Amino acid sequence: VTFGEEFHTALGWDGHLLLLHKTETQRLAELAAWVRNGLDRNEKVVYVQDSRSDEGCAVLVALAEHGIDIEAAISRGQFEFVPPGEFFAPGGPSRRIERALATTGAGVRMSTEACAMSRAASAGMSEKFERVVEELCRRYPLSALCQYEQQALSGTSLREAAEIHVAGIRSPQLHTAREGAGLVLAGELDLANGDLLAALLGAACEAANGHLVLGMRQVSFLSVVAARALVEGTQRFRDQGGQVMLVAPPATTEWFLRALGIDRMAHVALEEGG
Amino acid sequence: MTRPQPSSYVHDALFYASDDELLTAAVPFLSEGLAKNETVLLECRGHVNELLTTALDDDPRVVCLPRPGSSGRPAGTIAWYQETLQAEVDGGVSRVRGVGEVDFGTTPAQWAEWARFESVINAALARFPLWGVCMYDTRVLPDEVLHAGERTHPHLLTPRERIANPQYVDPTDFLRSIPPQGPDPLESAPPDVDIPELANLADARRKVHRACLAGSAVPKRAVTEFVYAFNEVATNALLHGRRPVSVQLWVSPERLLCTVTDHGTGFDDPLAGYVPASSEPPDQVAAGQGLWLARRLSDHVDVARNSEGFCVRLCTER
Repeated sequence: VTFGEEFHTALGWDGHLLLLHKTETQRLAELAAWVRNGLDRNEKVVYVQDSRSDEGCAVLVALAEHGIDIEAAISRGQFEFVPPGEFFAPGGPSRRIERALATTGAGVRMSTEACAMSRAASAGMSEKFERVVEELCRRYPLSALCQYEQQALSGTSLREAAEIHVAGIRSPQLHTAREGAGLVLAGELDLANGDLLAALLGAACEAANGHLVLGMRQVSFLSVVAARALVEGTQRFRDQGGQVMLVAPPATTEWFLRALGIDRMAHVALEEGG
Repeated sequence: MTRPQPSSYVHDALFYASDDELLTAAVPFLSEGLAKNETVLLECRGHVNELLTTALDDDPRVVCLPRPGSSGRPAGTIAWYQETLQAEVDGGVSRVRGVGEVDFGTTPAQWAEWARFESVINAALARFPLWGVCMYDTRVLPDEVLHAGERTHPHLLTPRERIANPQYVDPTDFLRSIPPQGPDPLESAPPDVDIPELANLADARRKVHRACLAGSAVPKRAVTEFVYAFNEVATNALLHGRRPVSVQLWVSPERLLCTVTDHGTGFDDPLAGYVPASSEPPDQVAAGQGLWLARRLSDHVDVARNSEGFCVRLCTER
């Protein structure tokens, strides 16, 4: 990672992902990257949206604008729209994913927007749906891209979203991935994602077995707000004896952590980069 | 001579006009420390260190360190003292004694910056068992520096005695007495970066970073630090100030100057940002750390109210 350059992830597009977007331009650019990645790997892409809706048309236009020959992909059967009413019906997700898997030798990827989810499902359904998707991602070669507006998530909804997608955050400045038993953080950590960082660290601590390893090699920027989120997001875990290991932050990020005394806090260890 | 208790910081000044005066006052002070097995530090110009070590019979326990001053930054220097003194305390040392000569630099802005340092350390080092004597060579130092030195030390050491200093001024009052820097000459030109309403910090950091690299000969690492400092000041303005927050950056081959202005009233603590706010050992990232880091990561930080609101001015030089 290079300080000062635009953030681009090196964490890939697999697994159960949470695409948090602040603008429509951002959303469509990230969506296009995810679709392209699937098409390049001969995977089948299932997009949960009515093909004739405004949203469906906007997706087609955007994918074409990002250089994807989407008409050809549709005619090959590699990209299809599934109406939300059908997809979100009881048993719908697994039925559609299994059917898609049967038509391709490679994996499947599925994406939906939060608004389609909430329109098609009753209150509380989106979380239930997310759990179903998480289970499907574990069982099948499936990448799911769940799209949420970052501004729409806060408090409980942010915590729930972070918990389910803890190793699959794709937000404008922060991406995460699993690495062994640890969690990799990548991006620029500042005021824009302090709440998200604290929420996902809380979730990562819940899932950790007394020892949380945070890979920080790709954290190209870190501010005081983010350092506070790092400390507060892991506070309860550390108070209960959990250990947090910060691994290989870039030199300036490491200096910053040390200057704030993070490396000397109880149950925190900092491992230098090579 | 009145002898202070070893449990807290004691900050004396010694004004001298000859080597004799210097040796007559400083050598007994240092010898007493050695006799009591205290840690003894010298932080003076090379020839002064030599004079003193010779007078102390080259005692191997005397440690010579670089002078504090204009080659560093006050907040970083304070952090260094705190870490060093904490290590001494942890190692069981009862008291550290030192004599030093601050390097006040060559410009009025540097004189003011290091005069502030001399004042702030009364508060910043208060909890450490350090007895420090700051030596002012009246033959070479400018009047502004000497006058400030008279107001920043609670006691005076002379060749004859150690006395309370009636001119001493509390750090908060001393810092308030120094007028804020006016607009910088660089500000008379159009800015290289002008963000009237700051909304996206990451974008702003990139703009500032690119402009600094493109237009100045300031080393890359110092530019990176400057961008970190900018980010903390801008974050404070967004979190605690009144929006809109505006950012302006001027870049010259020799200097980087950035103003961050919000429409609020700002804060009124002149000591803000000079001292890390965390406890020891640290257990949280306390409020105020952003400004403290900004002071460590840029050469000068000035805060002032102006007609628009509250303005923080950051500057780093080549």
